[in-house]
Amino acid sequence: MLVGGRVGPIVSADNAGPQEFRLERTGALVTQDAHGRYREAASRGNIFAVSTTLLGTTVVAANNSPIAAAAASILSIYNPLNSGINVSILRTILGLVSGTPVAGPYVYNIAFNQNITATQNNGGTSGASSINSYASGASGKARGFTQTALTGSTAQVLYRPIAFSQIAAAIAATTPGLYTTEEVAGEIELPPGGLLSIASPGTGTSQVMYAAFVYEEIPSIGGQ
Amino acid sequence: MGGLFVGSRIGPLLLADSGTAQDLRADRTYALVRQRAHGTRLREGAIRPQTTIYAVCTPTSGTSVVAGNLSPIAAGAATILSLYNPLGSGINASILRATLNVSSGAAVSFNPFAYNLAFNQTITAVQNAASLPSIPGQANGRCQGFTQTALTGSGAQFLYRPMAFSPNDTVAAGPATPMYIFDDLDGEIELPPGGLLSIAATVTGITVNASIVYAEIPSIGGR
Repeated sequence: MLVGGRVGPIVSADNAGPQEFRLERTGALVTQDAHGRYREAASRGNIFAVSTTLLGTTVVAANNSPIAAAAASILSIYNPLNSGINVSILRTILGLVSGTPVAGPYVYNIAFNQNITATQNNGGTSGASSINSYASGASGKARGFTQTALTGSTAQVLYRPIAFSQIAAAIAATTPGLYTTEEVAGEIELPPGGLLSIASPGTGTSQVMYAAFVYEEIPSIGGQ
Repeated sequence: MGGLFVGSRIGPLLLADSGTAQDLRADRTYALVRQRAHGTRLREGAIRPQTTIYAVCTPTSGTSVVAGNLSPIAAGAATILSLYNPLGSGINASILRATLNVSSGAAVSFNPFAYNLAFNQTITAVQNAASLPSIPGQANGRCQGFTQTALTGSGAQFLYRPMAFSPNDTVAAGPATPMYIFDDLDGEIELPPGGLLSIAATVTGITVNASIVYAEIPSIGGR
């Protein structure tokens, strides 16, 4: 059975009789968003955020890419083995607060099939879990870590740079704002055992920065 | 029992407007090809009385950030700007956008602004930033806006996440950097009845303007 459509708009009142789908002039189906893009996932309680401490964390040598086994990171999100979910990364937030950065971009580091036994510390608070964007108090299954040893992890590898380079000079009152939101939009996905970290290009001097991941937890089906 | 298959045709056609039925268009992997009807992606929600879009904001003159506005916001404290969905409202508030401008002030190093959340709140304070509809002539929204007024009845709020906005500059120091952010949340944050969202700061001594744009969507089964 073929379901057809009609080219061009039809102007009808609410509850008008059934009509064919609307097509544009090359035959593509014409659609219109009902709500905000992330609303369906948010209203079902599946979107969460993890972050560094809001006042920022000082970059140390261990945070540089590639991150070594069991080393602490600026910010990591880990999907535990057997969680039953995949983690789809929606957004990354990154900003510099003070200090002297080195030249070069921050980057994503990833690892797979990890078994991390460290205690999560979302926001820099030991034991704190990810925060649900649906104001309900629910916690996610994925775990956030910031500047805590990722005990049990193996060495991470470079995935790609984040489109965010900063000046290699001291941040002052007159320095332009150094912050970004990267719309990852599902490009990166962590199956159970997956680990994603923000890694620095170099330690710099007293470099303080903040970061966050916004992500969706989606049930794993056949490990995907 | 087998399902009903809906067919399609691969590749573009060149068609004039007409009443002639056409197959739906698919790409070479049989994915349905679609095109947004209107460039204004929020239009369908905006024009529907059931899903009207509203905004709450600080006064045009801005508001001075005080210690009580810093994240995490304490119980009953005033905020730069808060949106509260009252218990029993019958709607959810889906957050579409937030804007923030730094108008004046002095701070050597800014930490980021942030979103604070709380749930199951019963706020008895009188709102002072009513939600205005994006379509003139519609009624105000059911959610309540607050700016620099004590959120009497609220519990302590907690950090959801930072905003990507930490300008290391001041207006007094010169126009070296944009002093604003347009955060396209696009439904990322949602407030069920009792939910509270606030824009929180990490430094005092500055004057800011802020707004939250959201849609009121009927709650179905608490969602």
